[in-house]
Amino acid sequence: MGQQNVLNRLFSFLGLSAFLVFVTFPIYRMLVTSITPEQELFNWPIRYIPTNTTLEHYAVTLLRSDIPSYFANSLTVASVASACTLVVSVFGGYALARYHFRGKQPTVLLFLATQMMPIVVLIVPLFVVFRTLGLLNTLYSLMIVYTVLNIPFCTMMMQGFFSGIPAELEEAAMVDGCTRFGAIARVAVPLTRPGLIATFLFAFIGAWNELLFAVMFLNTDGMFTLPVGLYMFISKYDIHWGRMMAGATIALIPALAVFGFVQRYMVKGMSLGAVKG
Amino acid sequence: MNKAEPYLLLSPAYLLIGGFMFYPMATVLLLSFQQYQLMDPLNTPFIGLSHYGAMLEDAYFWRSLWNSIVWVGLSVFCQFGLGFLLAILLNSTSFWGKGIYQAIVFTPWAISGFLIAIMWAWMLNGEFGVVNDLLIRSGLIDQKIGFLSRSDTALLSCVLANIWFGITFFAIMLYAALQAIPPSLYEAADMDGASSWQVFKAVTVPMVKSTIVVTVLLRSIWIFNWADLIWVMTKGGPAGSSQTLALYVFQKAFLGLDFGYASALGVALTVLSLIFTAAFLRVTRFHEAEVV
Repeated sequence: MGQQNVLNRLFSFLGLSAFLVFVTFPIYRMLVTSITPEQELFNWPIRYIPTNTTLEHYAVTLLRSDIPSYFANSLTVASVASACTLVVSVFGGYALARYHFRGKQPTVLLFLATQMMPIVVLIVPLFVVFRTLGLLNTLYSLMIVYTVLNIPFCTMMMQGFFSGIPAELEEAAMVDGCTRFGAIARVAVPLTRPGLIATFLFAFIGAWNELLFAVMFLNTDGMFTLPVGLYMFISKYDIHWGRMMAGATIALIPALAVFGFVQRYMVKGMSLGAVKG
Repeated sequence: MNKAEPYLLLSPAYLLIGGFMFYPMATVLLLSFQQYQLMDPLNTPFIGLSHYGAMLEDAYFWRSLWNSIVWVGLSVFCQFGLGFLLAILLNSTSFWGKGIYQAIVFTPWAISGFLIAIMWAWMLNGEFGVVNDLLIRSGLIDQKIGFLSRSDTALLSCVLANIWFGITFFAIMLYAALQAIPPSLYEAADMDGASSWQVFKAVTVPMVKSTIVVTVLLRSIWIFNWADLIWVMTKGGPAGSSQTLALYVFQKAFLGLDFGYASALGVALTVLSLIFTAAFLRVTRFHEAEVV
């Protein structure tokens, strides 16, 4: 029995280590490449620990490229879109959590249906819509798209969070003369603060990372979001991998910071959205 | 309680989803019956089923459909297998620093398709890529391989990047499901003298079956429709060898500027997603599972 146990632990240890190496190695390569001098990147065989390091790629990326402006555009789009998503999801999620009404089941099914929709198919008709509205090549078009794409999932996430707090508190507030809206704003919303943050950040990551709509809708350099800007980097004939990896690292940092915080809520949200329907 | 209140609260969601998801979805169908070149938006006559006829004779369409099947099948198979293994390892072992371990191993999930594509394009680079270096050092190959520029490896390279990204989703979901299994079931099996394999087959798998069904379904459809990763890694090349149907839709719109044909391809993609969902739910008898 004891020997069996040791074997089991050894197997687990090896397996878990293998996963760790597999997951971290590409990220390690990205970080190392971003601080390796250009000429050393073309050494063969590869040195896994660079002999010289430099911050030149970061300097070029931050000071002599348009990356800061792309970064600002992405930040604007993602913040506005996720704020809008949050407001809509708070109201929608509250309605789904607190009321029994005839349209509830169809609404949930509708939200689930949107999760099965091939998003890439929407690019063509939305392009036509935004051309009609005169919003092509503006950040507004992306703010609208990213808001809408995140609403169904975030509404279901908020539904989960509201279901987790007792309704009695809001009822008491309403007995004391609060309106329904007042009860939502003053009682329910403050109680779900972690949920609000998680939902906001979830929407933020989605908007921060999106590429294809942005590539299709934006066509001047001043409008590009970070994914589009980096994409333009890589489609050039002559790729500077060091700068590319520095840019990628810069793009990765906000997403990772956010992810570290939302991870546990996302698991909850995913299981609510996916299993409970 | 006011009957209109829930609808009022949900109205922004209804309006936005209706206006920017369902309405465009409906116009896709309309567009697919039209000649619609982006450069000529005022001349859009209805041409019936011409696009669909052209699609059936389009070798690229069939090729991209086959590539989609390989792309989804291989990716999901490996993501699920490895994700389940990781979930089991996490569930059966306790060790110091497990929280940190989880946070690190789950990070690919936070990384966007285009960043993953860039990272892996560099790893798989034909001249200075680290994968070539590793394979040569270990003696598996003796010539560098241009993984992304060869038609027999381009799609598999994208699959590899996708596996790296997607293990996390399955691991998170299945780990949560494993943790929800009541320990008493394992104790009972233990008292009956069941072997680990028997316990796995008779207790673990049935208890997480519904999670497996939902996650495999969601991921398959999502990957079927996912175009970013391949677009950045190979642009579907070389010579269409890594082009999937979802990517073909995007390319027809973005490079071909042929909105009519892109819409027809989009309708095909949507219909295939629906058929797949229906078939999958039927085969796995999901309605008999207990979750719904």
